[in-house]
Amino acid sequence: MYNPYGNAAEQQQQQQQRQFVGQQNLQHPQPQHAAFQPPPQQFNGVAPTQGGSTAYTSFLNDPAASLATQFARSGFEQSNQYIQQNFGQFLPTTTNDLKYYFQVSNSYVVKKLFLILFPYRNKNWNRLNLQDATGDSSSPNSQQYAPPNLDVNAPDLYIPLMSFVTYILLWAAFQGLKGDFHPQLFGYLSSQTLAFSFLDISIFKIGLYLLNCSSQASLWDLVGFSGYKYVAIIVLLCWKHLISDGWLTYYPIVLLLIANLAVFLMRSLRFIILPNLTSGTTTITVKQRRIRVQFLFIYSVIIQGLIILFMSR
Amino acid sequence: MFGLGKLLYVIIFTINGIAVLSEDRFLNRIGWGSSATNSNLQPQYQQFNTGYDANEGSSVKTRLVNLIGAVRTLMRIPLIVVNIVIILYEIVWG
Repeated sequence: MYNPYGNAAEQQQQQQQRQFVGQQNLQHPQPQHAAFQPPPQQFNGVAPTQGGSTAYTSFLNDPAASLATQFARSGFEQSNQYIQQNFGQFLPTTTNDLKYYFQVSNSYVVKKLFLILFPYRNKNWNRLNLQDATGDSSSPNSQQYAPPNLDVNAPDLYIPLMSFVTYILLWAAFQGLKGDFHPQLFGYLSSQTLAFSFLDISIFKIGLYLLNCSSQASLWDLVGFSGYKYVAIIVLLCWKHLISDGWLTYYPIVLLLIANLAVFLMRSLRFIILPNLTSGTTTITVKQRRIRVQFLFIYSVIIQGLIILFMSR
Repeated sequence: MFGLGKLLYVIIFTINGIAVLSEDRFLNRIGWGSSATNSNLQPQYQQFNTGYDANEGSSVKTRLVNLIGAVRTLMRIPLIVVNIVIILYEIVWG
């Protein structure tokens, strides 16, 4: 893990070691390289030789000040560690960057949109590892998944973000066509949609906790998977306003899209909820397996269906 | 931002509801108390003590009981603060 505050302590140790070596070699003078001389003496000779700025440098060499800096450094490291442990999955730090979710390509977006609306032609729903996708074994972490432009099954955040914005703009446009548009509509719609997505993800997280699923799914994976329903909602909105709103032509399309999205979600989230056959750390009983499958079904069909129905009225 | 205020109220109310569940008057009566599942079984079923971590501790009901107990112990004091803030907001600004 990249620790930007661990290098200062190492450098200080290295300088002290070089200083110690320099002092030892004064008794046995050996022909040394010219560049080897300055570092040990520079550290020693800052305070006595430079008479002009002795106040500042002696302040830093003061043992109390060095103790204070050491204390501040260790305190900062501790608080950094605390934040990383508890909130590390939320914040985009250097190891948990969100850039992974935005490495998309045109062909990936087209294929994924087609998958969301019609998920029956995909044969293999496994997520690829980084080694299998690129073919080289140079990455030390073999558990890293391939980014979205190499793997159609990887979740991304580009499609959910774009479809969220498109949904709000479309809704506002259709309200304007009907004649009752007001600028607060944007804030009202976005806060309502954010509230629904928050509820959605919290239901899934609570379900994962209660079912004791030992999964390594990060939060942003779930945000991505939960945001794919905006694509279906956009299609429903366009169909409703542009083509028809009648009972016979609109509601079968609603049910069809909900069923397709449910199949897509069930096949994608299956690897989060049910245990992988290769990693046999925990085995579950038949009863637990049945409960997990039921939870997956209820989540994918009923909860997503209700949210889609409510958001496309 | 009007919808988010309602969502906040809904969340606060549900956590309030979980936090006021009384341990010995209600949860133990329906068998959901966190102390009822532990202490009564120990003298009789000694051989199941080792199995607490494996399967009996990870069923849906025990995790739900643990979740309710954790919410009750951890969220009492922050909930008091948040409720006071909301009451003051409602009184002063309607």
